[in-house]
Order: sequence, then C-alpha cells, then structure tokens
Amino acid sequence: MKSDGFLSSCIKVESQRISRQATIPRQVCFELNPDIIDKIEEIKAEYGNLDLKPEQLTDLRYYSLINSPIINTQHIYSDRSSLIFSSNYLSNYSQVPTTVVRSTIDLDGQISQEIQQDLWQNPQLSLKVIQAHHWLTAEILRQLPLENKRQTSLIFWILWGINAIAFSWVILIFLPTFFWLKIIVTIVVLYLLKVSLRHLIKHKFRTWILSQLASGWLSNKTSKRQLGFELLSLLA
Amino acid sequence: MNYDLLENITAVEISTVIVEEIVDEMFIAWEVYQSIYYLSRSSLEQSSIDLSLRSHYLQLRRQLELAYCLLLVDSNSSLYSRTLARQIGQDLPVLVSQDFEWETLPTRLPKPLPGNRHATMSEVNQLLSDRSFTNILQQLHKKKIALDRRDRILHSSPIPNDITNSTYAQTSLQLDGKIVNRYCQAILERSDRHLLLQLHEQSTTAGEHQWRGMIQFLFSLIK
Repeated sequence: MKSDGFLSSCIKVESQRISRQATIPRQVCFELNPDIIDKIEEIKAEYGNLDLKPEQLTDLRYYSLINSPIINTQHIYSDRSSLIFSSNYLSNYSQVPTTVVRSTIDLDGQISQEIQQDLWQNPQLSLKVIQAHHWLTAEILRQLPLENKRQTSLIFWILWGINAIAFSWVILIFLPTFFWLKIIVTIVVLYLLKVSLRHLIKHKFRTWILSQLASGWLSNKTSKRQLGFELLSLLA
Repeated sequence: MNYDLLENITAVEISTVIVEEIVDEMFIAWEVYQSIYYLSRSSLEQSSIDLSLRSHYLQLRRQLELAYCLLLVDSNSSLYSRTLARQIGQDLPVLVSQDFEWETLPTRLPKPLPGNRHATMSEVNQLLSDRSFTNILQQLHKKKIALDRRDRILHSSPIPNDITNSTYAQTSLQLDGKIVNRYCQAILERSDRHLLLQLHEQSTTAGEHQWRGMIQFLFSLIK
C-alpha cells in the first residue's frame, strides 16, 4: 500500500531566502495532526510506504546534499550543518502547531532526538507522535539514495564507439607509415581513449554535476535540481 | 570535493533529550566565534555563570585557540603560516593540556571586531570561511548551548530528579564494536523511568536507521 497525496502534503522543506534569487533549505518539517497520525498508523499496519512527489524528493535530496561533507558549500552562506527533521503537532484543541519532536542528524556521527516536555506529559499521544515522526523520517531517508539506472556503460560505449571510429579513421587514412604500425598505434590510442573516457565520465563529470547542483546553474530551481539528480543517477 | 566521508568518524552517538521548548537555533559563524572568543574568567564572573561550569566554558575557549593554531601549522591549510609554525609548535603542548597554563599564552586568534577604525575584518572573515575551522566552531557551539542550558537549570529553583533540557540518555555505537550507554542519574529515581528508557531505545533504533539512510544517500552520489 502506498500513501496518497494527503500524507505527502504534511511534509515541508522549510527554506530561507539568502538573496533575491536564491533560497536554501533549512529543515524538514512534518505538520502532524490526529488525522495524519491515524493515516500513518493505517499505512504502517499494512506495511505500506510513503509516496513522495518527485519534486518533494528532489528538494529533500538537495537539502541533504548541501549539508553533506561531499560539497564545500561555504560560498552559499551557511556552511555544512546538521540535517533537521521536526514534527509540528496541531491538536484538536489548539490553534497553533507546536514543535514537539526533532531529530538532528550531524554527519560527524552525532544524532540528537529532542522531545518537547508537554508532549511527554501525555505518554499515549507522545508514543504515537514520536513513532509517526520516526516513520516519516525513515521513509524519506529510505527513498533518498539515487536509483542506479545502469546507463553508464551504455553512455560510455556510445561515446567510445563514436570516438573510436573517428580516431581509427584518422590514423588509418592519414598516418604516413606501414599498415601494421598503423594497427598498433590505433590499438594504443583506443585503449588510452577508453581509460580517459571512463575517468572523465565516472569522476570529472560526476564532480562537475555535484558542484553545479550545490551552487551552480543546477542549484536554483527544483526542475534544474531534478535534472541534476537524474544525470547523477545515470552515472550511478 | 571531499570524498572521505567517514574519515574522522569513530562512533555514532545518539542522545535523547526532553526539552522545555524546541527552538530554531541558527548557526551564524561570526556570532558564535565572538561569543567563544570573549570567554574568560572575568567575563564568566560578570555573567554570573555557575562556578561549577566555568572551567567547561574556558575549555571551549582553549579548544578554539587550539583549532586555530593547528590550522596555522598545517601545511595543507589555507591558513598555514610558515613564520608562526615554529613558535606555535612550542606552544602546542601547553594548549593541548587541559590545565589552565594556556591562559598565559597570548592569543593568536583574530579579533571578531577590528581594534581600530583603520583595521578590517578580512582576517576574521578568512578564518570563518575555512571549512575545517567552521566545522569545529559548530561543534563548540553545540557544547556551548548545552552548557548554557545547564547554567539556566542551575540558576532556576531545583526540581527533584528534573531531567529537562539536558541529555538524559546517550548511546555510543563505536567502530570497534563497543556499545556504550550513558544515563543521567536522576532518571533512576523517576516513576516514568521505564518509559524514558523505552523512549531512548526507540530513539537509538531510529537514529541508527537515520544515520544509515544518510550514508547510503551520500554513497549513491559518489560511488
């Protein structure tokens, strides 16, 4: 069973505007209320999953990426910090939601789980809210890793094939030497081409996409970020 | 790009805290730098910090100085200073020891605010744009928040077995396979101790999953 849009609508990536054009995500918030908690319990009982919208997943991936030690994000205002997942709870009797649970995941290995005192005074409710919070967090983190689309080899062989034909043709036609030497030179060149192309795709291109996602032209819109993560999955 | 994701991680520590209020704490590097830079015996006395915590606050200041000196002697750091390296090498044993002799050393840290109107903030800005330094600053910031909380509790009227606003249980899952649990003494006297322990157990399981989820995501980006 998969959750419907009702549940994914309770997940918000809170952002902070750092310039006229750019915002950076600050934390992930779950807007919980008794109905949402019931729905989560229902899905959990049926071993269901949380269905995240593609744009939501992209924003969550972006949030995790820019707070990760992979990227040096100094020049986008806030340095790497912890990942924060907060649950705000709005009971049937209150007007304003209160932050009641917060998980702070520091990539240095420090994880802190905070529970608000008033929630703890109601053990039955606190158990439900905390379980809902941990389930949502776990579901998000489970879906974050990029799917391996296993296209690297296809991209690699297509690029290598095109280049191999072009280089072989140039060597065989234009190299002023005898035939067997041309064959040896072609084999050496194709081997070097294969090694450098693999390095280029696997490392340089990936590094370039990551840096563009963190602070380059792929960073400022959800649609561009989505493209960036799609490209990374092709290389995964 | 730094791909050594797990280079400095020797354990995953999961803490559970019951807090009066969950508030957003923003990390503004300069603000935190300033608050730790000016920590001294006299400033702690002026702010009436509890006597039992003063040495802990001073340790934060020592660690800040030490972090900076280590960057100045690190040839891979952008802050490396060949001229200072030798002198700092002599001071390091004093800075590393946790007694209070380090307080006699002159500070090498740049002032958070320029001393006179002709000076600029370029030195402090350069320092705060150093990734290793800001990482340490963030860790010190967390320690300072915990100390500030503790100080507030000590100044408020004591409630017996109160565990609010300080970590009541912590589990450390170490790389060598050891699992260390630490509990606050006050929970042993509380009637809800079983619930509290159950809550921490839940937090630990969730925390471990959260950590694993994060690492799997990062590896999917770079593998």
